[in-house]
Amino acid sequence: MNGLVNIVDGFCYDLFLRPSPTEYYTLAAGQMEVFRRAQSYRPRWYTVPDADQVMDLAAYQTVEEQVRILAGSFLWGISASVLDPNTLMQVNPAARLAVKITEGGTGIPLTWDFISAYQYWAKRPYAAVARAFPHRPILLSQPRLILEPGYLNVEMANTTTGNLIKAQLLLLAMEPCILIQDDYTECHPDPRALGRRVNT
Amino acid sequence: MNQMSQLRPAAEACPAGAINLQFRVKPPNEYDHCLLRETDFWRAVVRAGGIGCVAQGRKGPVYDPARPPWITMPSQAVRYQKMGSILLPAVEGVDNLVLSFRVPANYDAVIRALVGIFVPVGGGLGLAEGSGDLVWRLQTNSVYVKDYGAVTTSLGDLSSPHSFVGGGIRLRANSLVRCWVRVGVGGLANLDPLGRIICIVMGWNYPAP
Repeated sequence: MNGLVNIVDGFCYDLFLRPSPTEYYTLAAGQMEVFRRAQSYRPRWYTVPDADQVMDLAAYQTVEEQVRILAGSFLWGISASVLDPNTLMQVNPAARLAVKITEGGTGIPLTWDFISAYQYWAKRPYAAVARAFPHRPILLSQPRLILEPGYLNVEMANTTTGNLIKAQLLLLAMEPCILIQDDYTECHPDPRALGRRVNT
Repeated sequence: MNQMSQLRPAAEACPAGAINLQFRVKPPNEYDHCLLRETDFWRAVVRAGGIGCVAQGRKGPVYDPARPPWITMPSQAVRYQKMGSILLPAVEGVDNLVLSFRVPANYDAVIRALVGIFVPVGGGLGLAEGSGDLVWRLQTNSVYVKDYGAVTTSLGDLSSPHSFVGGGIRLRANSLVRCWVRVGVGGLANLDPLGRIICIVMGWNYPAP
């Protein structure tokens, strides 16, 4: 035995996630073992757009949004969804939505150019035959560190030639918890009242 | 009493056996230190000028960060000025390709200005700006350029092209650039049927850094 404590998190409840050396998702989850064992990082999900549930994208339209992320966070997963404007049901984002994410501080893009949101599609079942499969975010092969000033530029483009779409992007990150020092606690003896996370 | 020890009751307030994940008080472990070390390492890389300045293997030219090649035309750059024109289409509501070109391999590019005009012939009816009789679209690969997916006005003219605010549109090698025009509903009745639609895209290609 290696003396490591078993990891208990959301991935453990996925009955379809099997420890196979030939499955990307299993290996990518294993790549995140350091995050799953760390205690000073907490999950933080960011949605694009952040003000509304979904973003209306007219045909031929490209929009750009900026997402503020705590510097030092690690982006580890992405999930994209596209809704049919009439039925509000999930549809396949291929040939409908293209996404490009660029790290604002360094200008380094996560992808070389716009890519189809199908690559980020969590494959939420839209057909009866697929309902047996769970909703999984797309895992990056290696979590991406976001440094100061800590923001991502997200561009979303409607690639249809005449259809309105409703789109949302979910960015899954791990952010470092705030370490509260003694001088802070002297001013605020009970940080729980402020809704702060505490590490000692 | 130590201030930190005063925080301990936060965990004790939980029912027996429960873990309060919102106010956890666990100290950082070796995995946290591992992640923090990596964070510090990459901060040092950024302070040194980025991965391109500290790692070997750079193939392309090095540009002055104060004069990026998509803002200031470098000496290695090659100018381009692509032009295309078509007769006014006979069908409304269909996108018509006016101009198409591809960025050469190993070069990045920037679009600095463009022209999109309708030229009536012999004193015929011209374009009423903003009417929607003609709609221009600028597309790079599968995506329409932000704010240029449905332009209902003329863009510049032959003597003074329309410049982009804040520089230009950056393109990667092998990117496909296309300029489309659609005749809006009722547009054929308002436009000179012998008129021509002209699109010009100009900028420069530069060796990819």
